[in-house]
Amino acid sequence: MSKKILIAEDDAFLVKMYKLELEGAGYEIEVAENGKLAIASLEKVKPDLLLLDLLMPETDGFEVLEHIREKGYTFPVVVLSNLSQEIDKEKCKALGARDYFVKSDMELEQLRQIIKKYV
Amino acid sequence: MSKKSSSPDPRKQKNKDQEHLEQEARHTAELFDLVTRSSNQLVYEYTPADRRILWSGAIREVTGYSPDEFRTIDIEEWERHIHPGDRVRADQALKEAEKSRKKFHILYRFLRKDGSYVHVEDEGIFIDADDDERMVGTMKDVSERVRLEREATEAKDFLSSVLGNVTDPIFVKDDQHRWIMLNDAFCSFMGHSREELIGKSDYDFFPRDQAKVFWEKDAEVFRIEKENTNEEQFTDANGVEHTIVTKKNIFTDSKGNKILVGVIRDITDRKRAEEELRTNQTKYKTLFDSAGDAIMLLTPEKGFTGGNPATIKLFGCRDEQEFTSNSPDKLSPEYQPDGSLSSVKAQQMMAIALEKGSHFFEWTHRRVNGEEFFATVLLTKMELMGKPVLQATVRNITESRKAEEVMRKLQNEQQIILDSVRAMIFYKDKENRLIRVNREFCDIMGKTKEQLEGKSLFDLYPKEQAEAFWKDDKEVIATGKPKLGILEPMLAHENTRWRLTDKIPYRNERGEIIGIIGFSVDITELQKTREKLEKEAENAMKFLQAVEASSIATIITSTEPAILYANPAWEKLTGYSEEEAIGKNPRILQSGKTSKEMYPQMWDTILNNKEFMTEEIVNRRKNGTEFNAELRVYPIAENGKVKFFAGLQTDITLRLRSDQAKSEFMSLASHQLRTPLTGLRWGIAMLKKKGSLTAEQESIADDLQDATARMAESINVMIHLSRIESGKMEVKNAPVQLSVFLNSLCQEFHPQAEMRHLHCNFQIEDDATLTTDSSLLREIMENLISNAIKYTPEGGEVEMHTKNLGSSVRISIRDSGYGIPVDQQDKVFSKFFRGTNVTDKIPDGTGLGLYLVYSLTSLLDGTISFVSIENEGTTFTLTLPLTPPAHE
Repeated sequence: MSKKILIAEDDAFLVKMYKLELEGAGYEIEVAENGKLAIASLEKVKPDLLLLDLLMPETDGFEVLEHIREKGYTFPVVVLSNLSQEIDKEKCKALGARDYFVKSDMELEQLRQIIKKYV
Repeated sequence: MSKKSSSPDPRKQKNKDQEHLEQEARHTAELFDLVTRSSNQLVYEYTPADRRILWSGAIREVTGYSPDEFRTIDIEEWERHIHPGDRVRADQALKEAEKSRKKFHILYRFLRKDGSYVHVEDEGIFIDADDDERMVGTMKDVSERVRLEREATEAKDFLSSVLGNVTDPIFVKDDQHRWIMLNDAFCSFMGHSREELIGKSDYDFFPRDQAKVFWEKDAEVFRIEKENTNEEQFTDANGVEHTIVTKKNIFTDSKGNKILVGVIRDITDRKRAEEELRTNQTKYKTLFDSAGDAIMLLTPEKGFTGGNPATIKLFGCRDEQEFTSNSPDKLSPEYQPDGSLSSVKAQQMMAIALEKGSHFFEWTHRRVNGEEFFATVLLTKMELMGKPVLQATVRNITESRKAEEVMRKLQNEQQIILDSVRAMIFYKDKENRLIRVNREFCDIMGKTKEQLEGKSLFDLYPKEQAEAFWKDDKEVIATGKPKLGILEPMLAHENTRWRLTDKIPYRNERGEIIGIIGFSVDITELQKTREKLEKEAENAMKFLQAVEASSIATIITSTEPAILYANPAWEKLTGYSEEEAIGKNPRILQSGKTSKEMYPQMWDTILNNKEFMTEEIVNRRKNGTEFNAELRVYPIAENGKVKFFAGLQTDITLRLRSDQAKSEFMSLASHQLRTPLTGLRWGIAMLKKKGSLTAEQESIADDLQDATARMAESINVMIHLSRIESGKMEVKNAPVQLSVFLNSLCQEFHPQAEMRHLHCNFQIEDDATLTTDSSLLREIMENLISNAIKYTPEGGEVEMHTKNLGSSVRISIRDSGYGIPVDQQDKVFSKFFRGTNVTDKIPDGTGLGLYLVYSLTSLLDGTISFVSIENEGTTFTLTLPLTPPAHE
């Protein structure tokens, strides 16, 4: 049974890139276009890993993390955001995120390694 | 009396052919001997060569020895015959003569054969005959002459000692009236020295008429040749009249001349005393009879023995007889005011007067009719016919006593008033003496009235101070005008006090100034307050000027609060003028946009904690426009109670706007820019991976990849810088071991350097552990190293060198690169700097790297500098403290 990865990302092009990169890697990919949808799909999808963007319409990534903590989900969450301030990183770590990457500083190739680390 | 001896030396007379001559000489010698003997002197000739003496002449007469005995006496023997008391002197005189070759003349006592001493006169001389020295001389008995001389001297000494010791002036005149001998007393009597007087006469020293009288008296004494005593008057040089008694007598001197000896006695004082006595007796009688004072005579035993008419009247007696029949205690009440028995006390008073000579006291008397009166009594002891009696002067002081009492009462009242005044009041006479002072004066001087009154200011103050006071006093006395409001420093105790003094001339009933009245108030506190106020006013003025010039809008309010003051900056900010604002509540500025709870909270904090408060609020101008303000309210307290508030506002609208813009940019930069950039980067990577591109397309994709990577880097640096500039960058210090840190850095850059074929070298002279933010230091070093690698042509050198300086560490990175043109070196650390010599060679630079290095270095309390020569290379030197200094 392949691992399920939920990607919460509002930018459609980036979602397309994620999908292309992970093509054929044997993961089951689910996408939520904003925080609200991400929260909604968590119960249904029950992902093995959540790749979470922070700045999203409706509900942002911080709220999603808070929700996960409230619900007591144990799957790992890796934040992939373009916010680079230390304060944001710390806030996410405090809310239970396992890792934090600034997307613009990241090569797409790194994605598989990051996922491998947690799945 | 010297005589050269021709006596030949026998030793030199040995030639036989000279025998005749020798005979001749001996004959001559004998003759000479004969002559000298008759003249009672002996002659000697002494030859030092064989110490022999040849004697001749009156040997026996002078010495008592026979010539034969005496011939054996040699020079030592002779000296032994000289009296021990004369030997030294004789010896000295001889030696002197031997040296000088001059004649000597000595008087000494010579021991005769019979053991008695004879006074001899020895005269001689040393002579040189051929090569032979000898001494010749004569010795003569002069005892008789010496005796006579001594007697004469003794007689003279005796006379002068007699004359000198007599206190009466004595003179001796010759028959020409000239003074020939005078004693000291006469000289001082005349007021001239003996030298001036001897040989002169009365005419030289007295007026002509006077001298004539003296001469006539002298002439009479010469004529009658009998002792005569005269009383003479004359006026001396000082104009004092003298009465002298002169006793004159005539003597005949040894030459038969008549001389007049006068002894003078100055009886001026006696004469005066006699005269006074006579006058006094007359005066006394007159005084006694006509005196207003009652004068009476009394003795302790007999009581009153007499009284003058005033006495009879004072006691209300009919006549003197009735007065004397009363004893002193009968003319007094039984008791005196002090409670003592009059009879007992009267005896005591008399006893005191008899013992001391006089006694003054107060006494209550009683007239014959029983009326009492106060009196002063002066008892004086007198001698009357050899017996002591007392004279009493009784003065009725009842009236004056009454007046005195009124006066004293008045003075007391005056003094009470003066004493109750809290000002120094004094009355000084023209001699600068304090006559009266009040209590305040005493208190301030720390002395009693008795210690002060009668004292000169010079006794009470240091000289300079007293002189300063006295100067004003003299001015008032001289001009007769009051001098008011004199500000005087006064050195009382240890502190200087300031007094304001008025000095007014004080006149007697005839209008003559007899002193000054002073009135002096201590104004030290007033003066101090004034000085303090002046200083405060000055400070306040400076402060006000500063506030007026300040760009911070400032108001001062009361606690109500109502505006009391507004500065020009406030007027400009709010649009209200100061006139409009004064008295108004600062609420006029409220826009309603600041939360309602803020104000009460602020007042509460300020009033309770007495601290200032800062709030950001929105205020409204007079014209209705709004502005953001940072309001700072300070309480101004006096003695712990808040009296005023100072409100300082700064318009922060622009700042807020710019802060907002910045943060918006940050958000834009980090998200809105990065997200599409991420898409670009990943898209290009995906194209390369899956697009089966041609070689040309592949190369384009590579360039796009580089460009997007650089763009991401630029965004990162700009965000980073913006955080540093806004002061939001947090420095996290931790120990960093330099060798470990730099090693890993070099490892990191090794592939890059290798790729460009650079020779790398790095040394750590002394390792150090510094406390710093390692991630920031890493950023600095990464920038410096990557620059060095990037801007050095292939095959060049990059070298890193560190040194521990004790309290800091120095890291240098040297490259043999393109360098920085000299004309651009001052811009190296500014934003977006890129050397014009490298922009073509290395196009991919943000121009932010060194600016970042510079900013981060300051953040780590370090310094950065460089040395660069174009086309030779650059060395950057970073210095960091081992431990960062403590920040506030």
